Amino acid sequence: MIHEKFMASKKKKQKKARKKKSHLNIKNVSLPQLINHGKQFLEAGRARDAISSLKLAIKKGAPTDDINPMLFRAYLLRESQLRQKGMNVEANSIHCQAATFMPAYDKLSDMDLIAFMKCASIEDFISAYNRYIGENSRSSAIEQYLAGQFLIHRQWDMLDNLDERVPLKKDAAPVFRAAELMHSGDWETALACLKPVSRISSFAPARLFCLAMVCFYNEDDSGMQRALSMIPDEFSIYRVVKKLKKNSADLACLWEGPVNTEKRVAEVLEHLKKKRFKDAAGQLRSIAELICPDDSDRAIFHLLELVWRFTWDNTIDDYEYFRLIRRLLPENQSELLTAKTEFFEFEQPLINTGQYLMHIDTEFPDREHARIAQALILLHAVEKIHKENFFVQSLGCDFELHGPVLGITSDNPDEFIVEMTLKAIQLDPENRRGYELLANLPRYTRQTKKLVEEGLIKMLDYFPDDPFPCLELSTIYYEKNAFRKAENILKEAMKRAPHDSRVIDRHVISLLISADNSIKRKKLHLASRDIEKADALSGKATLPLVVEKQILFQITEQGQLSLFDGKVVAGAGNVLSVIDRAVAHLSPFEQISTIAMLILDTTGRFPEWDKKIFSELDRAFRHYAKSIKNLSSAHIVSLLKPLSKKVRPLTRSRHIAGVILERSKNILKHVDDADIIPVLDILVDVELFKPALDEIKRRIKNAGERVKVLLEFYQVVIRHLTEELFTDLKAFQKVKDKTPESDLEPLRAASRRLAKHASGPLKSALESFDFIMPVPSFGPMDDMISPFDLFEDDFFMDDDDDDFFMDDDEEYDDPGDFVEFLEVMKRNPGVFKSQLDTIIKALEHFIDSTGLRGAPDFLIKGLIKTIRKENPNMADTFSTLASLLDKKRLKALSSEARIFLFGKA
Amino acid sequence: MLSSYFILGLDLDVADEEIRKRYLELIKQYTPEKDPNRFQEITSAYEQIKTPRARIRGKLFGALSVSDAEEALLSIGRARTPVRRRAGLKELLEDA
Repeated sequence: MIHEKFMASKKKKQKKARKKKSHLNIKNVSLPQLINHGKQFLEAGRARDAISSLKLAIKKGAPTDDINPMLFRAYLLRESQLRQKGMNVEANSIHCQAATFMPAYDKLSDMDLIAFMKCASIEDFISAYNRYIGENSRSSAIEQYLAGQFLIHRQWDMLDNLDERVPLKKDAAPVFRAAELMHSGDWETALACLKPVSRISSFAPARLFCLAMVCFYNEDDSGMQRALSMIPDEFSIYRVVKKLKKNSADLACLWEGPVNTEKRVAEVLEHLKKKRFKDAAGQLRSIAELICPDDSDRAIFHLLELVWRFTWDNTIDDYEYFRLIRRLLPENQSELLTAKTEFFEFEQPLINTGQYLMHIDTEFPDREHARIAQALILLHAVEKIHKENFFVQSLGCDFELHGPVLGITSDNPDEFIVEMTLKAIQLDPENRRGYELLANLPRYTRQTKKLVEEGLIKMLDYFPDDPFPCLELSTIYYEKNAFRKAENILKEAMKRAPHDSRVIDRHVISLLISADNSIKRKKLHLASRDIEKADALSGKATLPLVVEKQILFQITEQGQLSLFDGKVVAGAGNVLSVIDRAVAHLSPFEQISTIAMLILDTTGRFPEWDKKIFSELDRAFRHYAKSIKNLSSAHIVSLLKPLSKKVRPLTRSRHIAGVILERSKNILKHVDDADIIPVLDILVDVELFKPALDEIKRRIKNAGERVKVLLEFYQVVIRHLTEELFTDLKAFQKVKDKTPESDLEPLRAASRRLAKHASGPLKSALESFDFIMPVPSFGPMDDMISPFDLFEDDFFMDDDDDDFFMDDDEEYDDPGDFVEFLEVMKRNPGVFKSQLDTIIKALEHFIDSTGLRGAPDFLIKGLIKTIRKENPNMADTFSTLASLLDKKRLKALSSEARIFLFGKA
Repeated sequence: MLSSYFILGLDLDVADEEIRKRYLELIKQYTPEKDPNRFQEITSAYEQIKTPRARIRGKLFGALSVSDAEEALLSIGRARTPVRRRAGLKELLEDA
């Protein structure tokens, strides 16, 4: 501010100095030069300079007869300039000065007279004109000007004062009524009235003006421009003509609704870019008033929502935007919009959602609408948290304040988003999207499954013809091994939509699950019946599943059933022929998928099977996998994808990628660059790190720039996950730095996706996509000791602690002591059980005192390995301890302690 | 959201029936054969405000669905077509 003032004063001084200098220069020039300057300034419209030069010329003795007309004109020019600025007092004073230099009438030009008499009354003007024509001939310019004045002021009686020679009075008869009509806006009738006015009459421009206005109202803008172009500059209403010629939208009185919007919006943007927020606010307000005169606050709110988008590309920053909101909106509205935009930005998902919901009544005063809006906001938040892989455990929230509006009652983060969805369903049970979202949310715990089930049962009532809740409920029942319930609910689905392919597919899966259970229980006759039924019903989507079970059945069946009499009994030697027959009618994609599923399904499940059967299965896979090279990239991605959740009860695992990659090492070569990232996600999900790294190395050199940075990022992440690298955030930052701004979003999304596989500081860095934060310390010894020192042989050499029972203040930073402590506890099962909390506390103390808190998983796992190496009973001790922990204690465990007890966080 | 009301020439917060009535009037006037662009514009505007739920969704998430904020600002102005207003000579002179 001080700087600005200083600059302004400096500029002022410089301007003054320049002026002084030029004044001195003028003083030094000769008389003819002075007169010449005066003329030039006058022509250039520089009235003040012209006046100074000409006055100096008079001082230097120039003849007044020559100079006065010029000086008169210069003063008139200055007068008009001042009037344009609205400085009428100053203009009047200049007018008086002009009068002193007014030449005699015989030397006065008509234009000078018009300029001089512009502000005079008609009466004075007429009298001046009468004198003028006493000395000069008539002037059409002056008469046209006068005609215009009559039209404007309608003082028709003054016509009598005009000199006899002026024909205005003669032509005026039709104009009397036309003038009234022009003032009332009836341009069509006025034009008709002016028809008798001849083209050479001084009133002819009035007729042209009426014609232009008639064209305007007929939306004939080119006709209007033609008429306007014929109106002379001297006509009194020329300033209207001039504006119409330029842009009719400049005359606001001619329009209702927003005009010049593009110009106004451009101005808003310009103001915003140049940080002129007061002007931007003014312009936004005027746009709002134009587009929505009855509810301009609502329009402003809407416009500001759009302006918020300019914070995305930093046209304005958040702080400036919030100031703009406060400037334009009343307090409650400004708080609402602030909460709303923060919700859109979603930096603190639960807090932002809660805050916005607290203001929802301001945005939707109608209670019914507020209910629906609240449900939509909750669903939007849940969808975003779920889709963008936010780590729910780390989402902060003021549960006391926002818990009720968010619907969160549990203290288990796994249940938050399910509870939020249920709240949305409760608020707006007719919104199908809520149930669909609910069915797709992760449900790992019994409680979340129960909550999802509750929601879907509610949907059964609200959507009585829809099979969707039945199908989803059947999935949950299968997950819970509640087969009878699953079958019953599927029967309900069949009743609701017997021809729906989703229902049929699920029915097929249900029959296959039943067949699979029969195979397990060696009730092969029941299995064959179900498989036959499934085969009859199956469509394209479920065909590989049916064929897989057919093959499994045939391999399992050893000729006990009459059903297969006369057919080849599988046994070890005939597996290939069974498979060949079964998959013959399938496409190559389906064949590979079927055999991969078969391998996934049978591995480890049938210990009684001859090993030859498994090698035959491998042979079959390799045989059919030869056609992989003919599959499209998208097909290969589909092959590697985990199986649908719906088939989960049918196989031991959904993750089929390992089975395929183990047997077809070159499969990834056939994947396009565009599809490689989803494939890498699949591989990282199932911890197939080596094939993922190999594939990245293979294609990183030749990949396009966009894919290359993603590959590099995945490489760095996987190298951290596989312990190739210790937490080195610089490696991530390096990749981030070289990524163009436009490609950062895919990198950010990848970072969030991969965060779930990491832990400790790496996890936080990946979640926040921020790799320049300092790596948190690994404990009090951090200054002196690297976490790697923990693996040094002598690190844990301690001295004199032989008391295994821990005091409150005591810490176990020696693994030997800690293990011995556990062993002592374990020897006495009663103590072990009763002292569980003490033991857990000891474990947590041990983690703290060794500086392992916050350390990466691999480091903790490495330490566990070392401890186990030295204490072979350790695994057993930890598993005993783990088995004794109840749900409450499990929840309270730190992630590091979980790794100790369960091998993973 | 506001644009939809302006395109259909409706006041804000009118009832569902009125929205539908106006929509039917307009699509009779601007059939897909006569003016496909206008028809399209009218139909999509109607879709955005035809039910209370659609209106609530539009009001909540309208700003998020905008891909070009500058164009969206312009389109609000354009959506409300200015009407030529009768003005007399005196008004013109005062405005000029």
